[in-house]
Amino acid sequence: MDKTLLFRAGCREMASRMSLADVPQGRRIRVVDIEGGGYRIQKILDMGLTPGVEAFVRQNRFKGPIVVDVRGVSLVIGRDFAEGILVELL
Amino acid sequence: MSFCDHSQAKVPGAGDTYYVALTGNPNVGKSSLFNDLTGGEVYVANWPGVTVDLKYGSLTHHGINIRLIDLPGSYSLTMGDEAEKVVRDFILNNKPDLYVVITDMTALERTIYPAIKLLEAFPNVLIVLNMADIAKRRALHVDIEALERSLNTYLVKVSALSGEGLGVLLDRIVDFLTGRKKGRVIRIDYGPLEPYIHRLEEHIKSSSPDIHLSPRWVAIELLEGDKDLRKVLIERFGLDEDFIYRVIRDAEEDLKIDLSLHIIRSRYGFISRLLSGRIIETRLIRPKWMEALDTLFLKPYIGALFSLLILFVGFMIIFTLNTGFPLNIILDKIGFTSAARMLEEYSLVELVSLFFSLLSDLVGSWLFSIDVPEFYILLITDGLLAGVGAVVSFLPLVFLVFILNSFLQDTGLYTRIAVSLHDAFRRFGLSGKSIYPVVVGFGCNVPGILATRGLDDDRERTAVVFSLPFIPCQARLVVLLAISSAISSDPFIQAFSLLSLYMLSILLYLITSKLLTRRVYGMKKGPELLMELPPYHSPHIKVLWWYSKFHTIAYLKKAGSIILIISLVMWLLLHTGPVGYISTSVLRANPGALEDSYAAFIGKILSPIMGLIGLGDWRAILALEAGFFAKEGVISAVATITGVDNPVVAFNLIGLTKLQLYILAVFMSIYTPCLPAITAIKSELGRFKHAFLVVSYELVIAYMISFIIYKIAVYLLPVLGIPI
Repeated sequence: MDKTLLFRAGCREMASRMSLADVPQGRRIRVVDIEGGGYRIQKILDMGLTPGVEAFVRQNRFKGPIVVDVRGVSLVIGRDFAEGILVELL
Repeated sequence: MSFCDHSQAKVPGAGDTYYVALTGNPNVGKSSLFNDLTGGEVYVANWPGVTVDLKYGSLTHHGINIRLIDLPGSYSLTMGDEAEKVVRDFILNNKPDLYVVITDMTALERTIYPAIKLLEAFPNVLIVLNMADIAKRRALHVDIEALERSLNTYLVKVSALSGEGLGVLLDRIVDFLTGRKKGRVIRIDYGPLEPYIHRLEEHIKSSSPDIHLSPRWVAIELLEGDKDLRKVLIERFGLDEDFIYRVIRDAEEDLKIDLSLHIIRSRYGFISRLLSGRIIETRLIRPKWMEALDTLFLKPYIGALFSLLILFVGFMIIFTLNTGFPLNIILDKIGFTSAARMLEEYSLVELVSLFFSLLSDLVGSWLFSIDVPEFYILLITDGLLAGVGAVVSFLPLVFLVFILNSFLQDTGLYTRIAVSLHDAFRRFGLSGKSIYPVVVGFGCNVPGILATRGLDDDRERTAVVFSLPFIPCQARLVVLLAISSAISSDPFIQAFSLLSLYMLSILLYLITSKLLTRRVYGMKKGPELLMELPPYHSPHIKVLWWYSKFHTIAYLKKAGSIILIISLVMWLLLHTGPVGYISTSVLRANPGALEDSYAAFIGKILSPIMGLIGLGDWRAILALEAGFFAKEGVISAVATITGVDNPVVAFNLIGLTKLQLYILAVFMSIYTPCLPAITAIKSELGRFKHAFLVVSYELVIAYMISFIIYKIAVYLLPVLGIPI
């Protein structure tokens, strides 16, 4: 788990929080925070991946993109982008 | 076609036309519903404030005339991609009588989002729950009455596929249009942001009193949007920029929250509360094969190979149907020569050309019988009819390419292919979706350029259209094959000539798109991957047919007349000169008579420049002039000049050395897109200036590269003991 990332995100409970890129597939998660700014963030929010929402990591092979089921649809997210999405395991 | 300001209330009656705009997320079956409602009779038009042509169709229900406008599928209103920009510009500049938002009933929580957003802006918004048939099969129930009460609008269940529910939908639309149903703007509570929303709202009301959208919505968009959206809103509604930014800064500093994140989250919170307890769903189980297929597509390298295989097979089928290529060459090489010939004879292009040669024979002999001079007969049969034939011969290919395109999109395969190739393309500033136009381009650049419509990012689309003509198409391959056979009978040298030219072309394509995205647009890398993975569907024949028909007709309208005019001009240049008409009988007796044509005249003017790259001979330049119309024109021009039909022999007789032939091949494959491709570039980028830019850029590159290769070869080959 990348400590600097957690530090940057300024979170209080470090225990179960991690980057979406590091979540093994088949786990349920809750989105905590999304780093960065600009259009891509706005778009992923509009697509339903908002802080607080529960989601299911359908595919993550620790190489290539990650597939997340959220609000009834599947989103495929590039690894670089997923690094900046902070989640907690459920 | 402006309908911005029809402020007076309409009394429903005969002759009135009402405007209804169709919108929604991508992948909810919007296009197919649009076609269902309009019966496939689709037109394109410009709308106030919107830079792109939008599709619209007309229909009449219970005596009410409805004009249905198809807005592109989008997720948000930020400047991110073309579709979002179009929808935003439409909403800000037009006031349709009703918005119809299509949602996917099986993924309502996400797909109802744009409807909720619109309902904040505009009272008359009707919500369609599409895919009702799939929902039924999955035993998914939605408490529609409760939702209708909460949102004070209609929710109509339909299945665009089976046509179920369309009658009810039209009745409900008419209820809104005749005023029997009146909608109401909804109000979502944004908690701590409310005071700031209120301040902005008051300002908007005073600066733009006759605003056609809810001032509260504009206020929310100002807080939620990025810099670009804020700028557009401030300009559109004449707002005070300093005041707006003061309020935004206040909100950010007082509350210490990310405004857009807070607003979007609140909106989704509203949706969750709205839907909670009103959707009953048995747990969704995805079929095993879908999971397996997705796993395969997302595997690094293997997924990309699998995607390329699908595209390869798809295009193999299309191009084989169209011209017999490449299956004819494969059959020929493994000994089935007669089968290869048959495949060519019965290909679509051959059939079209057979039809036109019969037609021109018929017209020709009729004109001859009524004593029309030979010049006019040939102008009509060789110039005009051949031009029409050239336009028509592209239609089957364009149609088939769009069939495959819509097949891949409709089944959900296109997204997977794009995902699997994304990483490789990102290095060149492109997304995985740009594979499709490129692969099409290897067969023919024209449908390749048209196929860039599938790309989301405007800048990426321009970059692909700009660099695509470097991809060597099938017509160029035919010329390259003839030239490389003329250069040497040694298969090793032939293969070297061919492969080196292909590598050069692909390299130029990649460098050009990288240059454009990086230097011109300042994009360091291609867009990060973020896409919705739609469920797999079986394709709907109806949808494939409509989609392909629409795009083929659009191509015919936009490109047809230009191709026709230039082909007439080309014919005149080649068949007339300062001495007048050069008749076919003269040419047959003495091919050298072509030297008196205007085309040869132009060739001689260009001779000193082209001489620097070893192509000073007017005959070589004339062949290149013919190649401008269509690349295979190089072969027919060389055949006319030498009076020999066999292209390999003809290239040998034209009097060029092996090196000059190779330079001719290099120059020919790069120098300019063919005329139909230029027309396609113009129609896609919208301006002649862009098409002109592409042609100039490629001419310069072709000249530079030919010059370098020629100069190096002239010095190097004698040293190596190889005759030039």
